[in-house]
Amino acid sequence: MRGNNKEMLRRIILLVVLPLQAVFANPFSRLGPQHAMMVFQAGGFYASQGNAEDIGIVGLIGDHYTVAHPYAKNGLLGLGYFIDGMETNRVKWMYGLNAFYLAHTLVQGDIIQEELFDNLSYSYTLTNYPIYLAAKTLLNTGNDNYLITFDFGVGPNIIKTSSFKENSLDGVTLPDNAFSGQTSVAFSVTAGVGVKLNNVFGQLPLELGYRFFYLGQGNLNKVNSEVINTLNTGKNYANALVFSVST
Amino acid sequence: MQRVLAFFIMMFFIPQTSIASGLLFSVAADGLPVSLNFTLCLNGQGPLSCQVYTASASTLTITPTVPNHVYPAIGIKINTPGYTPSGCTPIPNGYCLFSASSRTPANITVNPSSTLSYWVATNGNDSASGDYNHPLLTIQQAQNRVRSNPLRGVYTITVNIRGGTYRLNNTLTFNQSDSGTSSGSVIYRAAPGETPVISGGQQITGWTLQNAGLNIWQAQTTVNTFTMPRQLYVNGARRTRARTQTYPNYYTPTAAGYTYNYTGGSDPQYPPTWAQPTDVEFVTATQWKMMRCSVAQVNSNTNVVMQTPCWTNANTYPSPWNFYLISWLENAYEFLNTPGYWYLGPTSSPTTKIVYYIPLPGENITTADVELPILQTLVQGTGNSTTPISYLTFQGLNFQYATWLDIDSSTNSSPSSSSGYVCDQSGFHLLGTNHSSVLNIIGHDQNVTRMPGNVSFIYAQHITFTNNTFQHLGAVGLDFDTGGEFNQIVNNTFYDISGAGIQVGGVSPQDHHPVGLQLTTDNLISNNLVQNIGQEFYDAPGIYVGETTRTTVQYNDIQNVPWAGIAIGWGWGLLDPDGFPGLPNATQYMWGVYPTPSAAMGNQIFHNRIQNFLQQLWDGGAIYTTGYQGTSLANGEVIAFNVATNKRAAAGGNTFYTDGGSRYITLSDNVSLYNPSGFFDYGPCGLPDSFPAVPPNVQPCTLNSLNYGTDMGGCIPYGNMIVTNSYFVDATTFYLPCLIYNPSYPVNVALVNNTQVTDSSQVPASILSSAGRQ
Repeated sequence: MRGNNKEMLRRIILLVVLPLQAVFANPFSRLGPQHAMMVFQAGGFYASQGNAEDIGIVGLIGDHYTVAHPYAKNGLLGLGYFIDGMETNRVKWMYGLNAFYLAHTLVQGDIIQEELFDNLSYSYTLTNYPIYLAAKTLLNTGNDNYLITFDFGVGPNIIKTSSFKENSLDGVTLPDNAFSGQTSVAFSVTAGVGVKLNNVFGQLPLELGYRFFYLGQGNLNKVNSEVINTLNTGKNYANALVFSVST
Repeated sequence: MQRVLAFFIMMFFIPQTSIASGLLFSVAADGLPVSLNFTLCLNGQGPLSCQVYTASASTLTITPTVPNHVYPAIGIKINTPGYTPSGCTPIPNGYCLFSASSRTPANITVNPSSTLSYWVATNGNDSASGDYNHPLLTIQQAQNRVRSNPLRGVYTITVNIRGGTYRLNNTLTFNQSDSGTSSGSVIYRAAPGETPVISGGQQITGWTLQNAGLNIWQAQTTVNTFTMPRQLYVNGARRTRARTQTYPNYYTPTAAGYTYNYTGGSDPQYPPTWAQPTDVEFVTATQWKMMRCSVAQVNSNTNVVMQTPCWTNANTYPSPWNFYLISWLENAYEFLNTPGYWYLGPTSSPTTKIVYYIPLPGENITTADVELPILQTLVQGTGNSTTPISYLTFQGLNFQYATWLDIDSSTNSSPSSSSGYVCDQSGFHLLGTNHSSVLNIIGHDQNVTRMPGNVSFIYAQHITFTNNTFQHLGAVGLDFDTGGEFNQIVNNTFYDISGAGIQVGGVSPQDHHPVGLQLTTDNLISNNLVQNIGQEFYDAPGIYVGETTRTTVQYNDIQNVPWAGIAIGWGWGLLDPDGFPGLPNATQYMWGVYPTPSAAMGNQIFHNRIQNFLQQLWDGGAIYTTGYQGTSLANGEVIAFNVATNKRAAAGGNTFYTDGGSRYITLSDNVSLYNPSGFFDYGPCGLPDSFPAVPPNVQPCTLNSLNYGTDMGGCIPYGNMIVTNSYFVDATTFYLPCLIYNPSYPVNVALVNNTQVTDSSQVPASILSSAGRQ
């Protein structure tokens, strides 16, 4: 795990710093209020995923698929385009599109054959591409140095499952390899709260926030006609820390 | 923020399961031992929920371990090559389905599958799989596949050899690594309806006319240094090695050979005309013997020095059993004067020779199939006295074109070598120099060597030859040497062979007084056709059985043999407990003291039909025996229901010839017809011979007008014999040509209820119809 954390930190630094460098390098970038803005987002998420499930097989009692590691973490990237909406002295609303890429996570567990024998393990990877119609609220705190932000989005999530494989736990049992990965679309929502800090790095506004993603349920493709039902990912959600910069 | 941190911390909590792994099936194995690896699936259609199992026997009892559930489509797949399951329904994915539950196990039997069958074809490839569609090229490769097959000895493995000619460069050698078992033999057989030929021949082409006047044609061939083929076949027929007229009359015997006293000018018999004098063989054939010795050199134009030890060994026997007279000379270019004659001459290269041949009238040699045998042994099976080779079957194969070579120049074992061919009897001959320096006046040597087999086995058990053809061979067709047990030779054809057709057992000490697996016993020779054997070595019988126990020779047809049809036994009493001197001039125990009975016991010769015997030699019979054949009549030899006809009329002999030392023999229901009493034959008088000029100076040839033999008799049998229910032309005379040597023998010879007949109509039809192949 220690190695994984280092890798995660390295990814976050790269995802955050590199876009910032791009912004500074753009001579047309403007940091003040305007009618539309681009938002570049990076961060990390911690997802709840997988689904313990009974898989029916013709003539058999069937297999029970457990989820050994229901939580997984990885990095995310986001890109948004917002235009100004209503604005009062205290509140400003913005509307737009906000798409995210939640890097792949590993789902793994065991297969309890005939509900009795823990003879196989399985794993697959899960990648989410949610695309939201988004609304953003900026709440004036009375301090020019920071704003409170609220985000909300709704839209489709493109869920990709891949690299399904099984392994024998006893050296005697042969993997069934009854499933393969596939791409599906699910309903997804996101909500978040954050703090937008002005002039942290010179004139660059930096927003630090928490995001919750409801990612919906994907599934795998059954490749054996003797398998009655397919394995699904469960109704996944993710909690994320997101850093954003806007132009 | 704290709650968020707590949430993230909780996410590291991972629930664990405690269910253990386990087997989906319980498998019990019984039946034939075999090492199996197989896959079982709860759903064989998928296949899903599969596990790999092993078992050590072929009958599997398979029980699902999950209680109270019936599995309707369990699948099994055998992973061990060469096996398929039965008791289930195969489906295309390779699994075989069956139903079972924890209360109702399934029984699945695993049987060998088609990978236990190999195919060989002349257009095959030795890298191929060896199945019907991808046959192997050589029998050797098939043998290798069988040898490495883990199922060898577990189940029967069959090598199917397709039609065509398989020319061998080397002998097919088998040993214990090729053996099968009682439950899994190895079969080398002809593909159904096809005729594979296993040939040791080299096809000779490129003929050109060499001598227009004599119509001699020549062709070059490549053979190795020690290869001196002794036969040539044209369009499947043996041709004659060039020879002189019979009884050449210009040679006077000397101690080292001959002098040649012809002064009439150029003559092919005149030694100085011979371009290759050391190729020339002197041949003598008289009484039961035949000898061949080559020339060592020709001196002073008139002195012919013969090769030793051949000449020395020949002269261990007295006249007329040595080169008393020369029957003919053989193997010189200068003897090529008759259509059908051939000669193999040298070239300047040691690896090439030239074949010369005078075609028969109408024979186009340029298009004929001319075969020169260059391999001695086609098949050699070798076991040893602790582990015999066993359970091989050869079926439907055609063995042909093998010869008798001087394979190793150090052994001088070929008739073409300096040892020549000095016959003792029945193909057993003298090799080397360790023979008596005292004149062998009994006519037999204790130290003799068997004629090799072109197909040969030693220490072999349960070897079977069925429906094969042995033809155009230069030694013994099929030979089972020491230690042959439970071998079967059934329904084969033996045709045109230089020596015996079949030879089982031997005459050496390990044969007549064997220890352990040296014993030759319980072999069967049945329903064979043995025809035109002894073509080159006239002393060879059609079937020879040595010192053996419980050999059965039955229902064979034996035709056109130069000496005896069937010969059995050895020793003339000198190897038996009494040391019986069953030969003229023999003395008791002169071959040693043997306090225990020999191996000759319980042999049976039934229902054989023997025709046209004694075609070249004399002093033999249709069936010839020597030595004790048991320890009582109860365990002795039985010769019954045999029909012997058409002996060469002039040949002296006894149709049922119980020769020296024969004892404990029952002859019953035998028939001898059209076998008139023949004569002595020591060749023409007036020729220079080796007979010593001692008083009263009676030359052997003067005996030629005397009758010799009848339907039964021998010289000097011990006795204890019954001749009963016979149908003989002379049913009362037991012919004893050697009575003057020991008038007290034979003893206890009972002639009971024999019938004198002159025609086959007087013989029960049941005997006539039951003789020969059925």
